[in-house]
Amino acid sequence: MEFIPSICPGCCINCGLYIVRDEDGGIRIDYRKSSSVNEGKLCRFGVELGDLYSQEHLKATVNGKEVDFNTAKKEALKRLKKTDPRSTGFLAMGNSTNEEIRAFKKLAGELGIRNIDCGLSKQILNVPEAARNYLTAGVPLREIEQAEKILLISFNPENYPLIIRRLLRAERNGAELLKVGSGEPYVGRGAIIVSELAPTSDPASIRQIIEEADDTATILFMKPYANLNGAIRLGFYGFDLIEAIRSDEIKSLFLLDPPPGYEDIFHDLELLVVQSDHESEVTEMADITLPSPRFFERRGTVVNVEGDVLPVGGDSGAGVEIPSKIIFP
Amino acid sequence: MTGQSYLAWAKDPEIRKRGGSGGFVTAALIAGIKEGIIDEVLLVRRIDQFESVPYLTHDPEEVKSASSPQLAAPLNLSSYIPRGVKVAVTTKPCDARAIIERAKRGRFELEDVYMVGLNCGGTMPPVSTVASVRDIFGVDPDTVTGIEIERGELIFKRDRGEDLTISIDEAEKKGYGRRESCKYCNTNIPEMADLACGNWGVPSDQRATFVEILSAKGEELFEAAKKTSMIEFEDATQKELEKRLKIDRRMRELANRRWDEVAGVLDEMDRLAYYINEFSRCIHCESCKIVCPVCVCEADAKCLDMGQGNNHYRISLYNMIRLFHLMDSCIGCGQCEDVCPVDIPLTMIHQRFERRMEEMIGYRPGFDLQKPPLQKPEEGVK
Repeated sequence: MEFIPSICPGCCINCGLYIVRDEDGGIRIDYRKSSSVNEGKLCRFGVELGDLYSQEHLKATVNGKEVDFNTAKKEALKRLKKTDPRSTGFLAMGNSTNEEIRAFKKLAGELGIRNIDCGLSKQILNVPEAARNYLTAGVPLREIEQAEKILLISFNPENYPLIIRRLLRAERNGAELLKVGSGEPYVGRGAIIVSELAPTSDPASIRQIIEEADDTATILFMKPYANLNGAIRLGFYGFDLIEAIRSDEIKSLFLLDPPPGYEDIFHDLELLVVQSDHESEVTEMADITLPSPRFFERRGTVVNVEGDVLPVGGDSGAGVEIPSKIIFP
Repeated sequence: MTGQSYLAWAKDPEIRKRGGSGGFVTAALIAGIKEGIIDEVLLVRRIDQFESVPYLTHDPEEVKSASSPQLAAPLNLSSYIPRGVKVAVTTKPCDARAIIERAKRGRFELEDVYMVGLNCGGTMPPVSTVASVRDIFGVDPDTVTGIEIERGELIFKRDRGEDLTISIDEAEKKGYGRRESCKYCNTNIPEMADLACGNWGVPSDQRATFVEILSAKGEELFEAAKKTSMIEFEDATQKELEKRLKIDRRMRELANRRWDEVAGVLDEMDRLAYYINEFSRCIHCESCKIVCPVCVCEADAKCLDMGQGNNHYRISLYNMIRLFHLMDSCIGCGQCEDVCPVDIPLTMIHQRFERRMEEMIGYRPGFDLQKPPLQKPEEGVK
């Protein structure tokens, strides 16, 4: 029975938990009550994380055939080099560590590929550069409990269940809690504004929230994947890849740790290279797959909802080494 | 020997010094391994003052270096007991009650489990305890090396700088201190364990453990400690016995008063509306079931099977079934409330039902191997 302190990759809250390895090799989660952001509490995703980690580990493949890692890596480099950088993209939607995203970005640079995206480029680029720090500003969740006024702008707390108890405590402490729909007027003075920054968010609404907030307001953008805060802070954006894939502008893609929900857009790519830890519908359609360690096994960090840089918990650097080894074999 | 009480302490000065109250528990556990009475010891391994994890070992040196009780690490160890091995485990009363309930439900043989009970005045949630050090004292929590509750005082020990002390009442008025379920728990001495150990009743100038032997297994461990010369001991005096019971009585009075305050509020309100409102927040993560030590149904549980999908009416069937299921079985350990992501006061609600059932049918879960009455079909009834 080994307890590995780790974090949940389910969203930007990055709830603390333990991964427990039993003597029979089974993996399950346990509750880490000392984790300040969630105090041991988890949503259903976190509770079921053991099932995700118990899934079949991804194997190195080329054209669906299992190969050794070096063959897959060499083939990935060979094929990526052959592509036109203008129609090639690197997509990392925040399911990776800061260190992996940095290595991934470096590989894109070495290959002369500028089309990089964390799935939020459309929204980020619509915000003036000087105001982009608002997109990743961390807010201690305890501050929500002590707020006098909270505005939930186009935000459904049920998508981030661990926020619900903070809002409830705020209400009990006398906070005014208002739900505001997109485009509806509101007074944000002195408020904590909670909204969501996701690939489906309306870029104009995101910009409006930032522009209309004065210095007395605090803005918290919740994000649906583990490390979008890190990806944005590392500058992993610049090109709306999702839209460009849909419009066939992008023909080749290197995809790092894909989240579920985007399977339908990758079908028609001429080249799809996927680095991931588990098999999925997306890895099945990939031309080349490169296995990385499971999230909790990775040595690396993420930036959580409170702006803290947290270790993921593992000691494997393989996820960082894959992009490095591709370019510097 | 069962029923006897002693003041006992470890002969090894290092164990005596490290132990919470004289090191008897550590000495008895090591003796149990050395004498072949137990195969493994289940204890908590300290990560820091505010975090511990369960740990299974058969190495006497590891037992020796294990921590004294961790007040700010509210684990229930019953769920980590391995099947089919003789294991000794240090238990708070709620651990011991949970072990008995799990044994009833076939998770392991109670004969295989040696419960070294520890008196308990409550445990504390780690995050708010960390915050209390910062908020009340303005001190970096990393400087804390130990936490104790002694004579109504909450004491944060520090290697460098003075200890930080506040009355537990004052800390709790400020919103810190013990977990809510511990404040109204009225079982402080683990009388259902094999040994009950602690410092209540021990003269303040003596570093020793007050040990009550409660069963043949407890006797076995005590004898092993004697035989291996791991301990020294003397009979507890009448004065010491009375002092211990006086502390227990006072703790129970306070807990019962707290319970009346907490649960009494519901007497004055529309209870059905209250329950509907509280359970309406449930996100069906199933954490309360996963951590519940008396729930052993696993994936084929009725609450999961019938509680799926739209099979709900204001309070989901998941919660309704759990309410009925726990009505005669909830031991009030607080684990469900600890992990509820939407802060439903689950322990209070389940305890409110259970305590009323207890009054009605005279059955108290976790004290003996008697089956829960609501789960036992009445003879002759079809």
